[in-house]
Amino acid sequence: MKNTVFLMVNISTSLTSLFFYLLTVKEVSQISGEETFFQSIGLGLYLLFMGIGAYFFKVNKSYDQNINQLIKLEWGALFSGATAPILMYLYLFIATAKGFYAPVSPQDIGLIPVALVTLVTICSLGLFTGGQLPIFLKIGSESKNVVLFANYLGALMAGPVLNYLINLQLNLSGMLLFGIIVSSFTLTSYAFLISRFSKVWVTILPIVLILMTRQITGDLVQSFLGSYYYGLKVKEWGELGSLRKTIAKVGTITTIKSPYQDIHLVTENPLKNSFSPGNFTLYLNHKPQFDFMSSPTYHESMLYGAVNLSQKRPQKILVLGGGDGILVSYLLTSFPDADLTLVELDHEMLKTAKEEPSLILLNKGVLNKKDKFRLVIDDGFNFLRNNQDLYDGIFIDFPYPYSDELLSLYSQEFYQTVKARLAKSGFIALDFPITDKREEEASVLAYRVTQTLQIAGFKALLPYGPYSSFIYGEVESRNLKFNYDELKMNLKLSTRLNLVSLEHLFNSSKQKFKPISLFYGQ
Amino acid sequence: MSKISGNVYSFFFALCSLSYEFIFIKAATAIQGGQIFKYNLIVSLFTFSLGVGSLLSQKVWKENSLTILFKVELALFLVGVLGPVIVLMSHSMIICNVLIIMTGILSGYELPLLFNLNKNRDHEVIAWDYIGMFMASLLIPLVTLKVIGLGATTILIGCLNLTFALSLVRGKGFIKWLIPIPVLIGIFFSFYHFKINEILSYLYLQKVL
Repeated sequence: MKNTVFLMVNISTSLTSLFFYLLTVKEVSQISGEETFFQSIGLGLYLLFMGIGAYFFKVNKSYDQNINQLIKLEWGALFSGATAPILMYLYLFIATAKGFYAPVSPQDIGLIPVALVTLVTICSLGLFTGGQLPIFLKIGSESKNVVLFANYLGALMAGPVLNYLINLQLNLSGMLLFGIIVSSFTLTSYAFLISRFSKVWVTILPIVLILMTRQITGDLVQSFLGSYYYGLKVKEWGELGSLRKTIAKVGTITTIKSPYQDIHLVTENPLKNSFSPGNFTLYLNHKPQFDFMSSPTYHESMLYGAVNLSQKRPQKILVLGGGDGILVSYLLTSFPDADLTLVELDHEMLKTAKEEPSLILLNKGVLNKKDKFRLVIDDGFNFLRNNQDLYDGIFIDFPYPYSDELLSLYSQEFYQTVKARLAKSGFIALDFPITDKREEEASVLAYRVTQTLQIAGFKALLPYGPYSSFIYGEVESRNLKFNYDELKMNLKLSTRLNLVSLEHLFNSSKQKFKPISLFYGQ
Repeated sequence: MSKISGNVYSFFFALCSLSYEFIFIKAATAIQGGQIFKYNLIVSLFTFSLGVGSLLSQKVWKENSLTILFKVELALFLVGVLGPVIVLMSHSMIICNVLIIMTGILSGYELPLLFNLNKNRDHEVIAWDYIGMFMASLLIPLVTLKVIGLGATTILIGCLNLTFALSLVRGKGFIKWLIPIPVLIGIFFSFYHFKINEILSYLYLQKVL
């Protein structure tokens, strides 16, 4: 029996350690958009400190001393792993609420302090984890192979378990609770292994962490989000605690966790005794996508700008991304007879767009009208690879390339695949990342996207839209310009003002930038 | 094996092994996206495979450790260099996972064999092993993949791996004359990386188009 418990403990120890590590990296990657940086340096530090821990923590001769050592090490690993994401959100909340800076997006947040907080805790997690294996090998010295195998089996389970919990849309609090509960099992088992149930006090730390997680984590994350999204600041440190009540008066933040991104629906209540009507904004991974005010200009510009430039009515249309359904609603209104396909990866985004009243108001409930268009739940790149249909118009409504993963959707290989699915004299229209970053960075990215499209084979390109920017492209070389006489009369004035060429900003540059590619360096 | 050479081999073999993992993560993300999901799965698979490899290596003949280590590194070179190409051409995550397991198992062989070759210096070997992995985590995703791209990074790491593998058996006949070849190839493709990445992009799109 004891041998079985010992093996189970071996598995659970390595499972929880790697689970906490992967969870911390996931959280910090999602909030920063720097997946590659945190995944790589996090893994390196975790492994390095595992080595240091294996060297540093000594193995005792007596069985009971070793078990006591294991208890302390498990405490250390549990404390490090469970508090890492909490400390990150604590830092973010204080930084935004105290106004250390005024972030537009998390990329404006000082990532070095975030990295320091999380990487230090990852190091300590590695340190305490590394100290455990030599002790396990000492205790199980008669069957070292089995001990090693059990240890690595736990590590094997960590990744799939985390992916499974992500698929279940557990929030951070839920995931932390899972890790803490498994660790509690480990600690209780240690008490069993030394046959001293008086040692059950070892579970005090997990219980404290469970309570803390349940009480604090949700509040902390909401407080950070409120301060970040509403721009609420405090002058005195003492006011931090009451900020949450202020946030509740300003509006509501609804969080939907999807396997691919965090979806935040942020509403601002109308202000009393003012003309402010309130607003609603959709954020994906903390990046603004559109709000109630700007949505018509954005979607009208994308659709009517592209159709005006193409001078044709597309019969077969593909929309990649845009799971909010708003572009599809405009397309169905303007081209009710067109063969329309919407491809969206995130089923949670689709579900939210079908059920959330603010989004239904914008997309007119179009996602519930399944007979009007074809809905495909798939990765856009994957869909294009496997589908041989040709389209007259392809609208690409992806988020800006804030992360390495999103950058791949602006790559040469992606655009070459899109081009292969365009009918003769077909067109593409895509969101153009010009205006959302700091000015000097936006120009380089915009140039790179333009040059990437050219390399992919789009010979006619026109960037347009000083307020909501897009780029229109065709394969055949042609002189592109708006025909303002043919614009619909009932377009919003803001849309008409937005349908202006930005060619002059890009054609004058003789500088060559590296294209965006899945394989080339940057 | 001398103390310095033991540490050097430990460092570079660990660096190459973990580099292959990052290369496979990049290749897997290119064929299917979902970087966080892929990362979670690949880290778990690789860690588990390392363990399986170290268990399997218990069966090797201790007096033949040098030759076996050479063969392991040669196999790792082949899997590590050809693997990403196979993944990109096949667009198959199953094949990708199988290759990752193979890489992990082969990498898992390294440490026990290095222990055999460096008696009574287990701690040093482990320490340089972890330092090598740490350097890989800094250099590959943050420097080489960003600067010279996926194809050139794969060749560079493969050449590094092959160089040190050949140096294990440099005393045997003509082999010492082969050692500069992967060094030169690695340096060449580090500077002229555009073409190799272009070839990779072409192979990837063959399946698509």
